[in-house]
Amino acid sequence: MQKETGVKFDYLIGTMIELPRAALTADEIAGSADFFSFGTNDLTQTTLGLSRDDAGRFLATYVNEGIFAQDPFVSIDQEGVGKLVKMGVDLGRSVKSSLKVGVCGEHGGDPDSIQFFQKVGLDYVSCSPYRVPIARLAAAQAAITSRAGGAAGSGMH
Amino acid sequence: METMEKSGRVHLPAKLVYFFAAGEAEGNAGMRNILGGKGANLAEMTSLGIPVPPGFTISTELCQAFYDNGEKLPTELRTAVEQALARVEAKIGKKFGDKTNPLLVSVRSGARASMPGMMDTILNLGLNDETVEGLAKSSGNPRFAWDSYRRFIHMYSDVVMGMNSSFLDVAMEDLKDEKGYKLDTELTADDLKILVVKFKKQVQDSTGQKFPTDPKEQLWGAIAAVFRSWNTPRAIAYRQLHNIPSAWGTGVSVQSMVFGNMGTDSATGVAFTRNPSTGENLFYGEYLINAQGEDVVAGIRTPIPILAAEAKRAGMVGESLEEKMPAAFKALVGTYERLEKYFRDMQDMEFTIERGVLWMLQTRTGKRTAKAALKIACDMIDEKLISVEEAILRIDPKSLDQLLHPTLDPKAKKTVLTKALPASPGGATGKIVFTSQDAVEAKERGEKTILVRIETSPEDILGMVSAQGILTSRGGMTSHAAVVARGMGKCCVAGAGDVAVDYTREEMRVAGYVLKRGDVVTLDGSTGEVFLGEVKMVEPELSGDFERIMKLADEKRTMRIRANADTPKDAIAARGFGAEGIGLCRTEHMFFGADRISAVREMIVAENRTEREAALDKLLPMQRADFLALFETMRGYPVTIRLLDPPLHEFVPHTDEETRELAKTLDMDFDKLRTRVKSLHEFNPMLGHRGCRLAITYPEIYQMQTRAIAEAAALRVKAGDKLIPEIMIPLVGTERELAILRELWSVKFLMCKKRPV
Repeated sequence: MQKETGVKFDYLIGTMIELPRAALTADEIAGSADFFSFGTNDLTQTTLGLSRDDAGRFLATYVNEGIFAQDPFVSIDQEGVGKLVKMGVDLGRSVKSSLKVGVCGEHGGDPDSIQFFQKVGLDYVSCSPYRVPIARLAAAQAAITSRAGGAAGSGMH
Repeated sequence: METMEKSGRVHLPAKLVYFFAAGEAEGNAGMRNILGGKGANLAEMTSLGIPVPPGFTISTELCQAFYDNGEKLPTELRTAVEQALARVEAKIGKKFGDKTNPLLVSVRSGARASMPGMMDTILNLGLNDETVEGLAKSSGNPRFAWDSYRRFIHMYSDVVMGMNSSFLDVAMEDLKDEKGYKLDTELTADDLKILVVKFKKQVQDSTGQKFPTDPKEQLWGAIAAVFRSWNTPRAIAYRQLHNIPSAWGTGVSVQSMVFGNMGTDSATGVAFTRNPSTGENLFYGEYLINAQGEDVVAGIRTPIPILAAEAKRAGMVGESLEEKMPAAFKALVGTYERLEKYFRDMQDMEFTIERGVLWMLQTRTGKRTAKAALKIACDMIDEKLISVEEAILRIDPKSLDQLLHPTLDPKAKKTVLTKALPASPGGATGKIVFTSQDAVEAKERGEKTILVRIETSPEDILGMVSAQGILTSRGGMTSHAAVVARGMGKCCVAGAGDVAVDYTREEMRVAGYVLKRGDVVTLDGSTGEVFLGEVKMVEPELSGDFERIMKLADEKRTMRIRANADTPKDAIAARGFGAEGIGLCRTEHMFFGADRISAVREMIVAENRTEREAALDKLLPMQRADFLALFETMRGYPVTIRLLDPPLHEFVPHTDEETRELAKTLDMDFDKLRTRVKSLHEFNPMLGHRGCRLAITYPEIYQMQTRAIAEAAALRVKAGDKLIPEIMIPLVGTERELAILRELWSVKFLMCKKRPV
């Protein structure tokens, strides 16, 4: 395409990671991808086998009963969906250390999820425009607490 | 667990009760997990030498033990409480249940996280027909003694015995009417004696139980009631709203009473070390003379500002604490300054003045609006009270949402109905409702409401969540409505005395208007104004404090923040809020435009590749223009474009009527079209023919989109932009899918016919 337009420019081709299989085989996929973006809305649906549009009838009960700590579409399910995200990041970077990794989805604007994404080592989060200030502040808090936590952790040894 | 159940025992911590009195506090501020916020800070204040009435706090761990024990107080706890009570008696020189000089106590809740007004409190505990006489004599003030007694019966029967206390309110109002009184304070000792008899009879009639006369029995009842109040529907609702785990439980503080209702030299109040609504560094508070705590918070009487200047502004010249009780005021100022410096955060305090002497009953980190949080954080950095990191960590990111909401257009034409207290900022428009139930139901129907109440109580919490804004006709800046609304970031105008609310007729009268349920009003929580009808809203202007904190945050963070934006309009908003790129542009939204949906449908129903390409040819320039606009807006920032994701059936007509119309437009046979549309039906579209699966079967779609991206990028690069478009493939499950699609662009794409740019 660069030949045709007569202009040279770089482009990146990346993939969304929104199926458990993609996260599980992220090392293979990373070979053909310049970046990963975790689509955590669909990844939550496909990991939990839970349709967001149909969850309304029982989700509140699940939260009240403590089956889910929080609505997994609002704040990422760290133990399940989050584990896949972490695995995807680690596997992807194991073959391509420069792999750019981010998240796009409602979780990108949720402070608790942002804290988790910092820990996992994402390069960016993407959220709806109105949540950008929330994400900026939450990301700063995540960076500060992870630094403090890191320092405290090393002090313990 | 099993052995526990078998033996019928419950798990008890090593220490059940923490004593505090001048010079010997067993707890401290770091122990909020087991003492609750209130208990921990009472202990800390005591250690600091601040005057706090002696008492003790029962550990929050006992809350769970209480429930494990079948909602009964464990025997070990009774013993520990009796021992601690004896220490309080020794400290004060009064005895609990004593007929000549009785010790009275308050029993109050306090969880790890502050839950203002959600749980129960009992004051004046220890009174009965005999001790009340003793209190009358020892205080030399029978009116005060009987006033305390009637308050105690009222509160205890409501909180502990579960009686509907409005019966008692009616009895009191009847007596006042009979005597021609306007205010509660006009009731004499003899009136109150009559009232006490009536109250006790009413309690027995309503509950079938005699009002307990044994002070110990009263105490056990009250402690159990506070534990039970942890699991009232309103407390559960509040916990869910604020993500507070139910396992935390509440502590119980039992504290010797000091009295704000001992006469005109006594008072009670609530104060904030800084303004909780604006953040201004100005002591802020309200108080009532000759009253007890619940009078201020429950909005029963409208309280008076503490500062002379504030009172003057409110039209109450000479009524402030500063003017009425200068010595106690001075002590209060000294105390608040110490507390704020010590805790290094804005404090919310409760105090009582008994015969001119100041006592602190509580201090806690004050709830505040987002605007106030930002201002206080910035000011405290400048005052070198806190570090930049602390300032950043203190602001709840979610609360920023409040600032990003529209506010009233200052230029809009408005009809002012009244002006009252600006209790919680923001603008809100909605239909008037008078009950929380109506607010909840309206929200389910998708309607916006303004909840209008004389005053709110904790039962209204779900209604307050559901309404756009809250208007009360009674109560001050520290009333339940104001405190809860600020915590929720909800607009609230409080204490609108000009508004006459009539629940039975479901109407409110103000400024000559009679407004019925369903009529629309607008609130301005920043000025306290109430307007008739709907007022136009405008985008908010972000303050200097906001920009400053955001800038400081940007310096600390390591992750980039991008926005999901599909249109240049979204992209402009995103840039305005500081997004550093677009992380997700969903191209399908571009397909729904009126000017392109028919081309999209033509592409979908095409029978072969040539037809499909012809339709895609029509879409190409439009997509190119979309991307060009996006690249222009996001100049210098990365843009990630996701290729078409949803299943194709989302774009085709769903009814025969629409299909017929489409057939006409496309000049196609209706039945043929209908068959084609039907064939697109999927049982499980989310897991069906979507994402990259579309491109594997119909490569032309992604080819067109990629071409549009490339051509738009080329134009921007030619114009001198540095641009690296990021093309994103959805729903990839295998490496092979991605490899095939990459191949497609590098080889097959070049075989497409050349198009002028």
